[in-house]
Amino acid sequence: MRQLKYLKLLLVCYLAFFMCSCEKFLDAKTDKKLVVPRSLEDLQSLIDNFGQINGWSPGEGELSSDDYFLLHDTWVARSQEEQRAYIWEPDFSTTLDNWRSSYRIVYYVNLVLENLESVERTQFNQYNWDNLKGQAHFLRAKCFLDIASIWALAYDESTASTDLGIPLRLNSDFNVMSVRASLKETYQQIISDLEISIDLLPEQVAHVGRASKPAALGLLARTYLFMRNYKQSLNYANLCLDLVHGLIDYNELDSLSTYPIPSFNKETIFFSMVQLVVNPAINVNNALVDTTLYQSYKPNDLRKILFFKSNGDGNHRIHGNYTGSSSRFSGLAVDEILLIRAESRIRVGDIQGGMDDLNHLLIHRFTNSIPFEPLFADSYEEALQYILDERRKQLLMRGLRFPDVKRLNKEGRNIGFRRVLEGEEFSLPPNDLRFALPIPEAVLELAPGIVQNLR
Amino acid sequence: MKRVLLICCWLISSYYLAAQSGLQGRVVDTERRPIKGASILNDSAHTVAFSDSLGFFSLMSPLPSTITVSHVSYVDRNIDITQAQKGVLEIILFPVDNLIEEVAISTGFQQIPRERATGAFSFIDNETFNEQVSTDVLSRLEAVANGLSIDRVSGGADMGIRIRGLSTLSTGSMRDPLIILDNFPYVGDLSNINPNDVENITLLKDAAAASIWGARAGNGVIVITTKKGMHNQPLRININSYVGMGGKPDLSYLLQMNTSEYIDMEKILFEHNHRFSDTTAISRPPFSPVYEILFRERRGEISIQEADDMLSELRGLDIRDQYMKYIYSQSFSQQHALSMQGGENKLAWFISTGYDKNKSTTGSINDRFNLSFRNTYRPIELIQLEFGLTHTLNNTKSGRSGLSSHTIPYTKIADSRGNALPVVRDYRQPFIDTVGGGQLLDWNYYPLTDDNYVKNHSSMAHTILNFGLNVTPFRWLALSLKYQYGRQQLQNKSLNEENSYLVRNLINSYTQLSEDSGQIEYVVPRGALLDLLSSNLQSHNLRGQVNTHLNWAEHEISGLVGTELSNVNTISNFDRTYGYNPEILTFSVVDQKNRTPHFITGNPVLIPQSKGFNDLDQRFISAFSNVSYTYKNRYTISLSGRTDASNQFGIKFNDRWNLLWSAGLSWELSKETFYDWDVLPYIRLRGTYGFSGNTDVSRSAVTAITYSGTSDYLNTPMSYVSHDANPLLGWEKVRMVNIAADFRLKEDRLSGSLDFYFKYCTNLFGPDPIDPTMGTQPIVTRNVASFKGTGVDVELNSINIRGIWKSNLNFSYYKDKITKYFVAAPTPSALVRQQGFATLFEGESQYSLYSYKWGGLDPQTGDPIGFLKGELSKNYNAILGRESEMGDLTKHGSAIPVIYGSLGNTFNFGGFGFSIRMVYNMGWFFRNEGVRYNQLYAGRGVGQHPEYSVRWKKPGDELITNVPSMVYPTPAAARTNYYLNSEIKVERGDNVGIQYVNVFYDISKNRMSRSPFQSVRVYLNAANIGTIWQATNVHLNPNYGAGSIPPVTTYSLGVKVVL
Repeated sequence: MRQLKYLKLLLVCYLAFFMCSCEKFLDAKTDKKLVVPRSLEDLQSLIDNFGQINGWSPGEGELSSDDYFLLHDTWVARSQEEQRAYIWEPDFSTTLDNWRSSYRIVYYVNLVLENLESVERTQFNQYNWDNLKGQAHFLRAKCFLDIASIWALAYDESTASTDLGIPLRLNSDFNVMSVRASLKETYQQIISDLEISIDLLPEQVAHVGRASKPAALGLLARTYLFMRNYKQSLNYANLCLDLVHGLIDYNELDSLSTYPIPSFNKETIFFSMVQLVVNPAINVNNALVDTTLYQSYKPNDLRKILFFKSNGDGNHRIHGNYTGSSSRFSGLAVDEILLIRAESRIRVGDIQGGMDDLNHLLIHRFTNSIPFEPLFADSYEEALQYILDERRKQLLMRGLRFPDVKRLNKEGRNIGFRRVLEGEEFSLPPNDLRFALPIPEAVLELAPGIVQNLR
Repeated sequence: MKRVLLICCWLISSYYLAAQSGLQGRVVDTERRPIKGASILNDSAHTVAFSDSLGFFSLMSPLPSTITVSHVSYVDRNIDITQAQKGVLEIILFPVDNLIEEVAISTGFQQIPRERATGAFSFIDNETFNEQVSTDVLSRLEAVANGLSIDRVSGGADMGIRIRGLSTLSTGSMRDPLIILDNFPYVGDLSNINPNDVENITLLKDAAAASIWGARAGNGVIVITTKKGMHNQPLRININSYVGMGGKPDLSYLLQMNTSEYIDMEKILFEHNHRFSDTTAISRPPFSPVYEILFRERRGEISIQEADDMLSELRGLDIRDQYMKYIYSQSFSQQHALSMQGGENKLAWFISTGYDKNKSTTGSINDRFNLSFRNTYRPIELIQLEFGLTHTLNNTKSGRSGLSSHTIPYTKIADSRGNALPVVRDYRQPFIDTVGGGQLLDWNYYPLTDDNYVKNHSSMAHTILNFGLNVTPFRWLALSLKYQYGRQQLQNKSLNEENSYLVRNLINSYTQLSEDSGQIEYVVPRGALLDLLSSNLQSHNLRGQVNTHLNWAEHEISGLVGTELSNVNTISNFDRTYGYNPEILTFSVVDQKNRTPHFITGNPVLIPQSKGFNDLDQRFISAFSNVSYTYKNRYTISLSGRTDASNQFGIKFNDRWNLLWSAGLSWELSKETFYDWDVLPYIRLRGTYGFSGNTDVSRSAVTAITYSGTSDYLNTPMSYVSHDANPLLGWEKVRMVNIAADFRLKEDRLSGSLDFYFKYCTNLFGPDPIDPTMGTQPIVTRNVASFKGTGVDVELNSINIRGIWKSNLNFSYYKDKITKYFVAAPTPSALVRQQGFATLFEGESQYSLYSYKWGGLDPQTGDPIGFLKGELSKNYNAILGRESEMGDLTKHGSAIPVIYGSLGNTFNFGGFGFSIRMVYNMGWFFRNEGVRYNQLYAGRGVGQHPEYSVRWKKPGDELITNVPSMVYPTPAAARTNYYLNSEIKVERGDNVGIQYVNVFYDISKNRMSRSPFQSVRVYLNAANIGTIWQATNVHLNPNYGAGSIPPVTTYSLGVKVVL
């Protein structure tokens, strides 16, 4: 009897041991590379993924703009979405890819913000902790602004609380349905994210692939400009330019180089680019610069030879990218902030200040072989026109033309788009509802909470 | 059923008073030919003797006693010797293959006598298995295994072997059956197994058969049993050796356009100024030689006459002639195997070696060396120790690149003297001729010689070690402990020498020329490019098992219970070296951080890097049990269950377990006393019900990231979200019902089995598309899908002329239907899938073939006309898109064979044997290829089809052809896609082919009485003989489609010797 008891005890011990060792045995990772992100390093590595975070801005806005045109042959060879987007068809003209990749960044950022809460902020890690949080908020704001400038109408204070904004995903839980916020909420979210990040981000970063304080200030200036709150855009452009203000002298660039403007140059504040695999229509081989726009560059304007290269049949390809490559830049640079300040200064009445900013930029853009003649404006309107023209000429193919035209049409500038294909004409009149591109229909199928833009 | 043994004794009257006597005997077969090497064991005295080459033996034997006569190829016999004998006792042994029901089938856990098995097994004996010659094991199964098919349609990332169709909707290795080598799942390269070591193969087809393998057996199980030595057996030596040869591939199979027509087509495109804008493109896209000639003519560099002369020279060319002459050669193969086995009372051993060498038609060489060694040691009756070792060396050297259909037909790779000629590849020919002013390396691509500078070599060393301990404390109880260790090391070495196009192109692309000084800087250093990959796969299996076998009165119980741990660990790493010099082993270091402007496009580019480490680990813990009870030798009930847990990432220990079970019944009707139907002396009914499973351990229950290297810019680690939280993902379940009958007609004239099965696969992984706004991966896999399948497996064996002609027929029918799937067909046109893509929609089979209705060719333009909402339409985008309706489509049927199987006939006459095996695949459809104008216009040879010559050219042609007209500008891809997916392109896939013919001659033992050989067989084998009938008359083999050239017939001549 006692022996049996011992036997039982032995059996229980054996089983307990067996279960424990089994549990350990099965704790091995199936793939050593798999990590549950818990540390600051893990989380930082997610947003240091340059390809996904800095290389996937949506290109649909540029695709729908008028700085370029396609030859008919080129147009025929494009995907159906691109073909339709080019002539502003009201539906099936944007792809899932850009929508998804922008929101993928938002998802990564939300994962970072959520997991960051479980990392204790100590005196040893506080710099990195704050920096990471700041980067996350900055990136979310950048994505939301990129998306809003393509898939929503221009911001109008009087109607913004009822205008359709974009889905604001603020956590990573994919059981929460996506719904579109109002345009006002959208911009408020962007501003609040940026305001948080300004206090957290460092003034200087090792590489412009990472967000910095000037980047957040510059993006805030851009946001207020899109909202036509020129007082605030002036304020933030000033704060930004206090920290960064270097301009490239275009005389120092080599016009024979295929892509004359180097990447990560001293003007770049935050680096990102458009994913041209999704939008090949605007790549360097397909997109030809609008001929009127090309003519508008003066002969002594270096941009005329640095930005454009002849394709042999009288048209010109667009090589002037701040990426040093065929990729299209979609980040922030000093030239843009300077132009924001110039415009804002004029808008608030400081015409001279605005023109000084403009001439400061242009003297770095024109050849120094003949003396530069500064521009001079008598009136508010003339000054503003100078600024807007130069804005278009300097910030070509950076995803800014589309939101600019929307914004300016809100003030009655009546800029419409026009395309001709084999004699057939297509147009997008000012303030047309199609200035908010259709949300990809495939998104609507899977997200019942998202409504399509008014057509 | 055991036959009555005939013993003929001559008793010469003589009496021995002693209790022991010397027994003289002779062992013969049914035709009274001597059997050499039979063991004659006296059970009580433990004495043993072996028959000599004339069958004679002598043995000291006490009286009275029992002797056991055994031989591998014959059925064991027990003979009672009651009195002393004078003279020679003749013992006749019956060959094994006359006694089908005696076969014990192996599940990897135990041997079950076939007559007590309730599940569906398919058994391939040694004789049938060896009717084919091959280097590997599994390729022999298609022709001979019942219920097994080779899926060449949807194949890709998996082995393509299907047992009773598919059991999952996932792709890749989730579709593969589980392969068991002796006792454990085989881990490693399947081509390492030496077919000469294989004794037999068992397929476990239904849940009752497979559920003992639990969560990895959902796709069926193939159990490979290897040869082993037996106790009390004389030394036996087996030799098998063959050499084989095959012809060059049939290049006429390639869908190539007529050369002259191809040139004319290019001329038409040129006249339309097609692709002229590419002449200024930065990337310098290439133009074909014809285009370059036409450009020169247009620029006035050559006259029209000169251009025409040059073109007419090209018109006479056909790339296939050049490939036949310079690239392809005959294939050769050889196999030599030697094995020895023997055993005495305490020790049984088996040792074998094998050597294989194959040279393919493109000159790639594979050789393999096998060594295996298996020992059983029985120090005392109740303990048995097992030890096994298998070692394989497997080397492969790359050959040349073959020809694809996507080559411009007038391409010339060699001049009349056989010197290599450049062929257009990445850039324009005139451009690379002059660019860099002679400072760059030659930028031409020479297909004829390029392979000389590319050396891919892979070598594999695979070792499997087995240890086993069996203790039998009681007659009814056995304890066993088994451990297996496997290790496969793979080294891949890919050397591209500086002269290879790949390296020259890379060096040139990164070269920096200083325009002023003429200085040249090689950013990618000169020298060879070396890619190394090494991978180390280790597996451990440990199993403890208790077997019991009880037998009393009319009851018989046998059962087993055990646990198992298994672990497969793969560690690999790869690395690239630039500027490598294989002669003196020097190399260069390259700049991996800074970008260089590309020589042609000017884009800043990094030197491509290839370096990484991987470490994967799969672990399972399992507990299993199997019990069967037989009453009165005719009623059997079986129960089996298994539970597994894996180390799937992020799952809590207690949530990991998963129980799968099965139950079965069998009833041997013919043993009932009331059964007295002479025609059918044996009939047994059986039925099973149960579950098996399927899983993908690499999935994760929690959101996980994977590190993916270092950012070039930030110099910090990068990662991405590789797994979105998926806590509810469970294992797939396959439920199967099998109802069957085994039967045998009088005198075995016809025997076989008939299985009906129904399977219901639930909890299947299926995609659940996620709102892209969530930012997760587009699709989250969930257990959302299910489908059901029904099928029939029939196996018939007949003896048509006893001793001369036998037949074996395998017939299978299988059809499935998806009953639940998360993603609904968004539009009817989504049902029209490309060949090889699944129609994963509710209510469809996994592979259904749909097409667009055909409305003929437009009599004015030759455009194809389809149907949109029942009306004729040329709006191809709408037809292919959302607007078409069900009525605009045609449903043909299955895209994979529904009925398949094989028929084998074996003839024996005198010493001659002849066997022929046909394989059929019926009840399915495939899509024929056609001309693809939109691709053809790209000028790279892609999109060709010989039907171009019968295209619509003028009104009226629509009455005689269905091939659309050539139009300009480039027609939309949708026009081509509509045409190729229309009903006129669908053909019946049904076909019958001869898989092999095997002829042999056995040199009879009588003729070699003085030679040491016990038997000698000379054989001639022809494999892949080809299609003898197919339902379609298009020039395509439905099994292979347009993708690959069907294998050519190979002939092998061999000899098998038993000593």
